Amino acid sequence: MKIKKLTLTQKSNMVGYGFISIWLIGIIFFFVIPVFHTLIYSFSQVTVSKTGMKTAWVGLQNFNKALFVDPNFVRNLTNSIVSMIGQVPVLVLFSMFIAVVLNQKFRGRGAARVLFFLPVIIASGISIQILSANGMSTDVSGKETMFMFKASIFPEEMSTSSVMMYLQTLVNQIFNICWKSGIQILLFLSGLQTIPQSYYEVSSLEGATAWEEFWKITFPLLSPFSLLCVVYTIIDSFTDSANPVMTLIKTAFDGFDYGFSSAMSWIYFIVILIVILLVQKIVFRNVIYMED
Amino acid sequence: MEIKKIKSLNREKIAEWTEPNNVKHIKKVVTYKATRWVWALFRTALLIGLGFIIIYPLLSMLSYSFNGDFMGNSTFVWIPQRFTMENMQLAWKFLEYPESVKNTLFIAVGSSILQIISCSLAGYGFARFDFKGKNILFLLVVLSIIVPPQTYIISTYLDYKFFSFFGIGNIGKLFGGKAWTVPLTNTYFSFWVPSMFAQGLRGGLYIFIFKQFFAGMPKELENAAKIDGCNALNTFIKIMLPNAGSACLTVFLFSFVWHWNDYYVSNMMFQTKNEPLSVVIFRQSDFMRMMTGYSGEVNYQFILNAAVLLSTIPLLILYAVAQKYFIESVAKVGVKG
Repeated sequence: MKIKKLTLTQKSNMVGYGFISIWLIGIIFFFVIPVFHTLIYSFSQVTVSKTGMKTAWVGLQNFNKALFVDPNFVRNLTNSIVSMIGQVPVLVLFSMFIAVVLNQKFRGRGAARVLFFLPVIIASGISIQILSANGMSTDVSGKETMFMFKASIFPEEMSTSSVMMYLQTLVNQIFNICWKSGIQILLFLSGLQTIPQSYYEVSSLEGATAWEEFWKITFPLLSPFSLLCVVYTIIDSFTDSANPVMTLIKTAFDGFDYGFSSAMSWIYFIVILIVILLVQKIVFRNVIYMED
Repeated sequence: MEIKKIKSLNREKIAEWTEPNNVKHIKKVVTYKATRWVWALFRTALLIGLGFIIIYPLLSMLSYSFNGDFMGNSTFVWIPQRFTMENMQLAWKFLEYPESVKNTLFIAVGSSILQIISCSLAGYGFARFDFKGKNILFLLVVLSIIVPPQTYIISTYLDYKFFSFFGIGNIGKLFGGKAWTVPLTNTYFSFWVPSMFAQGLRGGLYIFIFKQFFAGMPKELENAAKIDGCNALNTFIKIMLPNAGSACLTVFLFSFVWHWNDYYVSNMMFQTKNEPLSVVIFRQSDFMRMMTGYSGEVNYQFILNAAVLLSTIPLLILYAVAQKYFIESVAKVGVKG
């Protein structure tokens, strides 16, 4: 038998397998197989004992339970999609704006950057729940956000009116947006470094205003990063453990209802994938890549 | 003749424009300066306002943590009238602080170092070699970033609980028994093992960062090493890795912070032993919320705040030390879309 001889480049490319081999083992055993298992669980009744687990095939029963029997799942799913749709554009535009501001040269820029990336360090897990309670609730001593308005121009009786309610939700939104946009600002800021300074020099020589420069240069050239940010924000909001669907999945998991939990996970994952693909289809068409 | 005329005309115009007392010129300068000034003012106001929103809960956390007015006193705003260390002491006890910090440090430092090693290898492989099926394999990397770990954590959990060394343990079945399994849950290995194999918390993202970084490095270095007779692995260890300091630092910081803050996976893996801070604090917070308003001697809301303060102090110290590198390296490394 004759073995085909490899060229030198082909040989050196084989070395690539060596470099990724560790990852390959990992991805198979910690990603591909678990994901495949979850698929099997979702079609089965899973029972766990001390010696291991047993699965019994039950067909579509778990999916049926999630979609048509369980009163919460579909409702929570639509709720989280709707709130995601409302949140993503605001968050992405906000972080783009802040990134552009933080990219300008001014005194105290370093301090401002430190402040705006602080949420990246803290804003996850349990701390954020307690901190956001600090930022919004009024149950400790009444000196929270409400006090800012009460102390200001608004008369006392207005504080319960719809105007106040609206202002409060707005304030809550700003709080959420500020605390959730750290990574996105970071992404946009690194994106801004990729735009050559010469573009701005040329355009300002031609008499473009800062406003025009933003829409004609910055915005289009940032579009790949916008796509990245949109996808990141969607995943982030879907996988947030405070998300109602995640809570449902976790509850089922805690109750050892692995089959049902897996079925919900799969439906959820497929929905996320569809949303991301749709977004990519819509946004991707308008993405402009700089030609190197 | 014509050219000369135009030139002189131009010169006249330029002289007119640059004439300091020219009304047009002054108008332009004034509007230019005014818009810049207004923008600077607006920017400062905006940044201060938003910065306040970010820092507000942190300041109130600080204020609560040392507040001795357990019944609540609405007259104080920032500085407590009765300063106390009692909240902190109680929180320290609730959290079993030294033990929990030790656990968290073991998990976070160990996993991030392992992730740097394994992810940089994989990232280099993807950046520099054109092997067959590379695109499909890289799609897997992207998928592992996109698919939320929550969707397959059930199966992962069972795998860790009955860890069989990648199926090798199933040999045990051949000898007429059960599969050889070792429980990884409740041990640091439940985080270290996946990190060793470039998985774990957001492993895919780090591979992506390393790939981008290595792809941007000049190839000449490696070619020179190759000519000098250096093999691929040595080239990587001796030439590429020492130059990838900023990428390593970025990955280390992100990985450390995410491991420190992780609650979801940790809560699955650590049920009885070796719990990290995030898990302990969550369990205790349930208890503390139940106790709120129950006991008159201590305010559990304050203790909860003190506990959060204790758990974030190490991160804040790290951030204070490394913030310069953190921000600059991310801005430099960049993540190309």
